[in-house]
Amino acid sequence: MNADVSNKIPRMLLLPAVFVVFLSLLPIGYLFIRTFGSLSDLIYILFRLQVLLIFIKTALLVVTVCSSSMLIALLSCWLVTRTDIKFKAIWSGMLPMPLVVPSYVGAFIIIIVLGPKGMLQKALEPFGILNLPDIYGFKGAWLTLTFLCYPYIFLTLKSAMENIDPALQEIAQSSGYSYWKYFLKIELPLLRPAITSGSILVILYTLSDFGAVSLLRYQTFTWSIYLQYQAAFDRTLAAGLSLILALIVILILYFESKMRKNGYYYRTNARASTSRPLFKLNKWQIPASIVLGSILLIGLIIPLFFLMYLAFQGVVTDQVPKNLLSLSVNSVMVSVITAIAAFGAGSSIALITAKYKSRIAVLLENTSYIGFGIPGIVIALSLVFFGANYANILYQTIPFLIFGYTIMFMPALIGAFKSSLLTLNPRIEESAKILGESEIGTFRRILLPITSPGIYYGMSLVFLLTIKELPVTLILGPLDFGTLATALWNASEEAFFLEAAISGVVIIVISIIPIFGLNKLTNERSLWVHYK
Amino acid sequence: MGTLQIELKNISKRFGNTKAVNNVNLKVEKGSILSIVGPSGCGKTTLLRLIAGFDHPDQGELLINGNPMWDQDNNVPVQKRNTGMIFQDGALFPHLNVQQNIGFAINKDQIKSTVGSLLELVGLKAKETNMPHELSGGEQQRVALARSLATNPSILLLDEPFSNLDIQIRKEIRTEVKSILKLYDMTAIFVTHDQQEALEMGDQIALMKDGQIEQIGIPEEVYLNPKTQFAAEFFCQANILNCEIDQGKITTFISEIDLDIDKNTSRAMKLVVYPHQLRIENSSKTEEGNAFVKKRIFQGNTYNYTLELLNKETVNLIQSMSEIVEEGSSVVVRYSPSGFVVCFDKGDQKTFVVA
Repeated sequence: MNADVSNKIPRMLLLPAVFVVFLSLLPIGYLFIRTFGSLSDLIYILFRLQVLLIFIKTALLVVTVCSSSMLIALLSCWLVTRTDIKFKAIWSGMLPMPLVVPSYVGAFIIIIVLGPKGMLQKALEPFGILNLPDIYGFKGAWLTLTFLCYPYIFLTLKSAMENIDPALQEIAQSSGYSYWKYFLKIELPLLRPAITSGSILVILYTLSDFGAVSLLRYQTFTWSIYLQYQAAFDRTLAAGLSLILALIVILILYFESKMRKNGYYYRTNARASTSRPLFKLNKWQIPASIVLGSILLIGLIIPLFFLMYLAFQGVVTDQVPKNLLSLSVNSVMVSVITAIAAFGAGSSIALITAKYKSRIAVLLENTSYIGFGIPGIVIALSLVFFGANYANILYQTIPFLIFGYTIMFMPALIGAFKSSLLTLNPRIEESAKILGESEIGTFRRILLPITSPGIYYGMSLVFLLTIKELPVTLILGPLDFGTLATALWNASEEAFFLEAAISGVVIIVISIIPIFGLNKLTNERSLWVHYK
Repeated sequence: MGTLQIELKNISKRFGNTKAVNNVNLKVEKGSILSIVGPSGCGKTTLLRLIAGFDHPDQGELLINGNPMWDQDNNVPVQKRNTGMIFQDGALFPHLNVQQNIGFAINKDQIKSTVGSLLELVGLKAKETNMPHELSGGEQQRVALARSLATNPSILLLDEPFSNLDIQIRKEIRTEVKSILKLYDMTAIFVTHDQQEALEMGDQIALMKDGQIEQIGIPEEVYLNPKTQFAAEFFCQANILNCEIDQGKITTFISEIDLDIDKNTSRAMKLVVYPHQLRIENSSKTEEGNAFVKKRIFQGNTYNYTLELLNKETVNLIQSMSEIVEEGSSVVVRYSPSGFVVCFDKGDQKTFVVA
């Protein structure tokens, strides 16, 4: 059916959604207006060689991280979904896990292990090797981000590869295609949208990353912005750099939404019941396992092992940060409040975008995602400018910090809530209404209980993102306020590595807790989906 | 004539440039079941959703039980229309068990007695604590029926409720649902695309095409006296043959039949020929064939034949298994109507009594 005239968004939903989107765009909008206001100064500043260098360095990192993550993801995903490799379930469960390692933890481990006077060098000293190639700068940042980012492509690619109808391969091979010809000519083109959308996530992650590049001293936009903000009295350059970075991100988001409109055509019938003919590895079985094993070793096992080893040493040598408990309480508190705030702010937008197809709905959804794409440091800076001018009482208070988090992470909740709303058959809601239940009653008795796993999932995501967040906390947090993340960053800046490791372990342990609940709930949900 | 329970006057609804429902008038009496049948996209589901209140007409009037539900001054919300609805996929609440689903809209103190008797009615006493996903498709639809009866609706709307079920269960649940509706003296509108189902369920049949009601009447009337060529082809699944009326006879390629009419009428028309009015025999030496067997489909106790007449017209017919004719063979088709025949003269319906 075409646009249904009576399908107007009820005011009860529209007003809060518009208000939330307006609030979340306010700081960024202010950054634009302010920076364009002093355009003449800005142009003078921005056309310096320094800015061009920052741009080139950032672009270099984005391109290299993206291509190396793509290679790792393609290879590992092909091994896991298309071959008869042993222990498939374990591999495919473990390979996305580096996702949970915060980038500053990854960078911190790289410094500990590969840095000057690091563990590797100490181990090699008896053999006469006194100098390792410098890990600071591009090499370290590239290595760290590659192994943290490949899971984004791996995950989108894996679901796409699993959804490709196995019959395609049978048809291609029965018409004389060799396996590799089939893979290159048919499967790879079908996977292109998935690879692109995963890559866009990697690009956004790399552009936004502050933790790894700051610890490894590689001057991308984010770290330069921070340096300018800290060092210079005049903050025009920081604002100008933020503006450029924001524009780049908005351009990428625009490109992504265009692409999404063209449709992801890999989605074929997932219930296709013919089983897929698997590529027999035979003598390649062991080399393939070694490849996957080394990816996991670098991306997950080595970082976690050293982190725990150092934390253990820290505990033994009594270097536990004195305020560890209050740091943990702070981290958990702001993360829980942000998760709740994100639900309060994001649910009306999720309901609108899931149920209405009007232009306003699309506009609301797209603009609410801007906060997610724009790097934390830019959000933080624009809030600083805005707060210093218009909300002095709120500036550097916890509510303001949570406001910043919510702008950034609310889209994660919207996405999760929306996708669970979309699995809900609209006839179910209509059944409740025809049985006499009001709009609010239907929401409370039907929508809320059925979509609660999605809501819980979304809130856990927000919790996880907040507890790992670094740049916004550094800039917007009250002066005497610290979280585990800022403590880790500060400690490793000052080379208190054992202290830093302890904070890192606590972050990871706390992040794991909601994931357990998540698995249980997604199982129940899959039952409901099965019923549908 | 009983009291009117549902009345639609000049109801129209467009979606963009499509007239989904175009000037529909309908009346359903208390306790009667109206089957609305039509091809997909004819507007039947939209019409049902307008009556339920999920969508609103662009114009017209809708009355339920004599009370205005929608017109220029009234718009009673879905919740207040006191209607029940059963959807194609049941739409049970997936997080509630059978008992809770049926008791969804009833007061707490009435739940026990009402739900208990409804469960007995639909034969699911043993499954009262099961979750929807543990039920078969037929059981889910029984729960959906019980759930909508629980609120004592004044009318019940059924939107292709059986089309997701296996054919065997479909027949069984059809008779069961009909007898329950009759037991409750329920006024119902039943939407389907299956003319067999419409015939079986409906006290009245409304045939819909392109947003309009083509014909409405009791099942026998609609079946035997189709008012339009579409009705004859879609609903009666009849063959349409070219014919000539002349000298008090109706002549087709395969037959010549005397009619009880004025001998001076003379013109070309289209004749409605039901499959059951045709018979085939193998051609013999004495009689040459007038058709070829193009296709034969085995249907269990009968054969379904498609024949190509020598003048290139095709006809369908059903014949018992006792006489089998091979595909490709030349046959003689005989046409023997009784009572009256229906013809279309440039779209206008004409009936003639067979002499």
